[in-house]
Amino acid sequence: MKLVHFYPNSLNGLTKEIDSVFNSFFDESTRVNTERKSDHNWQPRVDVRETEDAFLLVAELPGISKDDLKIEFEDSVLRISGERKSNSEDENINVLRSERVFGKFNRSFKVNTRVNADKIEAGYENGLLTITLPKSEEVKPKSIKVKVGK
Amino acid sequence: MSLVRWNPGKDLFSIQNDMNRFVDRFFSPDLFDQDSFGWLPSIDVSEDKDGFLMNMELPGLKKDDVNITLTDGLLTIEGERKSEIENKDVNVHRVERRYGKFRRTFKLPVAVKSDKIDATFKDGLLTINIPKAEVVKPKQIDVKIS
Repeated sequence: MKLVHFYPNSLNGLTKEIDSVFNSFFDESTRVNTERKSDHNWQPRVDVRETEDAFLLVAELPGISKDDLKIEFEDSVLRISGERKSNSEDENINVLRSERVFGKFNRSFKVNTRVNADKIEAGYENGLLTITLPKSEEVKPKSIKVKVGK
Repeated sequence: MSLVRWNPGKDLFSIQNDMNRFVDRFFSPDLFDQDSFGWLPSIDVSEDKDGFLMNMELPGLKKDDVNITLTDGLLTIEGERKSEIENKDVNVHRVERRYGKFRRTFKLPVAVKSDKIDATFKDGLLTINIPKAEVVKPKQIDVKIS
């Protein structure tokens, strides 16, 4: 092992740490995913955006029945799972092209900021699952109005 | 590096092979896959004795965002998905979805009833039913023995 200089005042480490905190607001929770990966063969595409009040997760799930979707939030982990069922097993059908993936899926995201778990909402429209996670009051940016006396 | 003889015919043959491959395969040629369009939605195509069934995944698009045309036996599905990112967003943490224009073109292997093509859009899934023209349907003839 080589000796390395110690820079106590270096900001590099701190910057990195801050970056990692911000990047991990909405991390894919790999631990949970690998645990259950074996029986899941596809993953829907997901976008995550943040507004001042909430996190918005949008997952592409075309052609799925609402009853086949499951959303859970536990220990800061948001988990979406479900199944896309294949509708045709007809023998008289000749398959010419098969690009769509069927079967079970499962994705988990670690939400590293405080959200109001009771107010999480989900909607399914045009094949998109939209989950809104409202931020807790204490993490919302606060604006303070300064009154200027006459 | 050694010098190699240039055979001008070779390139031409490979182009011809490519073209043949395009035209020969039922339904497979995405003739314009390689152009400047940004993304390719997944599609399933199946065939039975009456016609073809196409299912294309277009989550987040509406009926008016998609255009389907049939010209000279080429069926083209095209449209655009617009980004939903708004000004009020303070941060974007993950972008896996694809945005922008798409276009896919398929060569129909047999004659179809172009006026009977029917398309529906439900839950982000575009379903197109293409009935075959009468001439190409296998006809069953009952022979009665007196």
